[in-house]
Amino acid sequence: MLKNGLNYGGVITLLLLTHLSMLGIVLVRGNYQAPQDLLYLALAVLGLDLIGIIAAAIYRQMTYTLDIMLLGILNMSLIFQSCFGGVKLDIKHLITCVAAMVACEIGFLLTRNHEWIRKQKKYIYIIIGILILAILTLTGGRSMWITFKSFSIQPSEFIKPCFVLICAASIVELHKKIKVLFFYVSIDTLCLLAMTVVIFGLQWWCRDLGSLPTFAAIFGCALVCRLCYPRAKINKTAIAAMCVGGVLLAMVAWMLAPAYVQERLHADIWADPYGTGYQQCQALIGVARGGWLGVGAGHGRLAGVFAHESDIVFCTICEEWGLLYAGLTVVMILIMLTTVLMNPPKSYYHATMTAGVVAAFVAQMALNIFGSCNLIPFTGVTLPFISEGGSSMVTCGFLVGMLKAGQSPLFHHEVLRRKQAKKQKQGASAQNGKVSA
Amino acid sequence: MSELLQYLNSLAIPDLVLCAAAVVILDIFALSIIIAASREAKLCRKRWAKVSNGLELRFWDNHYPLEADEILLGRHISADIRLSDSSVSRYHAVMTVSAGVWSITDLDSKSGTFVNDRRVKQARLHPGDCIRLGSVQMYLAKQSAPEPAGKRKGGGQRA
Repeated sequence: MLKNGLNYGGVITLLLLTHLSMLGIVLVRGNYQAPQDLLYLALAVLGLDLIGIIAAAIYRQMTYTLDIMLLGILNMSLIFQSCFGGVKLDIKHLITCVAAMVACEIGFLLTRNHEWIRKQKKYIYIIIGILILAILTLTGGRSMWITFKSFSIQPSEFIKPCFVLICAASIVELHKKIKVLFFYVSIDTLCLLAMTVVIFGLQWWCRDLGSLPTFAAIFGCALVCRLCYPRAKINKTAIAAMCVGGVLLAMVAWMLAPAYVQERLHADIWADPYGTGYQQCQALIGVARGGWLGVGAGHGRLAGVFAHESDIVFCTICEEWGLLYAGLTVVMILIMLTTVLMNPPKSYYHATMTAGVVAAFVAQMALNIFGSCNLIPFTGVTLPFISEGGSSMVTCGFLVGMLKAGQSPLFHHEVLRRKQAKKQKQGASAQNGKVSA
Repeated sequence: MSELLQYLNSLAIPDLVLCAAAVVILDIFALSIIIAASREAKLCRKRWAKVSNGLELRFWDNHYPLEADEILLGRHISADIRLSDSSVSRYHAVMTVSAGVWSITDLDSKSGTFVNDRRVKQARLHPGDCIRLGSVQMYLAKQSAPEPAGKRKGGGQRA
């Protein structure tokens, strides 16, 4: 069925078994009013599995593990989200899961030809500019959200894949430098630096400190790739200097941070467990209540706490499904990212792009999990693929599409062959038209 | 449906058994994904061998497998194949591949790029060709034996 000659029957069977076993746990331990609620959830999960496998089979790819992993994690997410506070199919989350899968295919098709996408960098800069303008003008104040009645989107999420793409574009143009006075400068590097400063400034102004480390991780990765090139000798001195510079910059930012940031950095949640520390205290109590195996799907108390489905979703899963299952869910996401490293991309563009995407996911996961467990300051970012939220899910899907592109790239000669075939086809159809006329 | 639920409740499956079964299935799924990914990596290596024609650059005792579709040669620290020789420019030349055919393009270097002792701006390369950047001479040859990823002669370092 899948078009690369390998047999995926066993993996797909195990994917279905994984979801069925989760549904089995919900059936026996779940909190549902009517059996139909569970039936609808099961139909949605198995339907999404089927659609996902058919969608993956449409395009010829060299690798399919990312598609299967994405499908597995999205459906796990759908089951988790549908069970919080009582089992009922979360239609909104189902729609965002489908949107994430569509975004994944779009991301894959747009970025698989690295020569084409790197020529589009000026349009990517324009897109980022439009998104920044949208944030400044449409959000209404120092916020990252654009709200239309009951529907809201976060444009800053869409900047992430664009930022990864411009970082990747800057590395392949490394040797194209011009001499200004006594210095050789790369226009691409200057543009990237300027855009980074603008994005960081915007995040600071909008007080969205959650996304700031994610962008910093992407930029850091691009910088390392720029200094070392993916397959070249690692320049330890440059990396050490960069780390020292990063630490110094972080210390300065820490010291100069405004009062509301200082408050978050030095917050003692147990000093005010029913006030400012309520959310995190409840989250930690939830983790403790859940133990290894959890209290059962839909039986958790965290469902009544604000942002239980997004910012503290890891703790909500820990409470209902247990630390074991929550930990394994995170491991599944990490395995998805690791499979990409098993098959390194064959172009600098894709290698830098892959490194940036992996850095973004790892940074965001660390911020969410460690933040909700009070190990680092709580910044309120989403857990990739698991948290509810359309902007986040679509962005995650697009980023996975970019990872897929690195695994199944379109090489130059294949593009030429396709163009020739298209021309021949057009020529043949034109001749047929003449003959029939 | 309700009868099925009653039956399941009457079985009284311990939580531990149920959760352990789900965890084991998830673990097996993760393992199967890793195995599938390693099979895919082999397949991609075969495909790359077709695209790149399985060639490598030889310079004294060093072997540089051509593992990307664009390889930058030069003296700069960021060059993919770094040649620490003063006659080589920082960004000297770039090698690209298309359908198994490698080409070299000179990046306006001072000392020039030579293929079989002929100065070129851009040229197609064939196995056995001698490439000279400044005073550094290299040979394009078929890869002698497949090496495990990350383990090359010279301790995995480029130059």
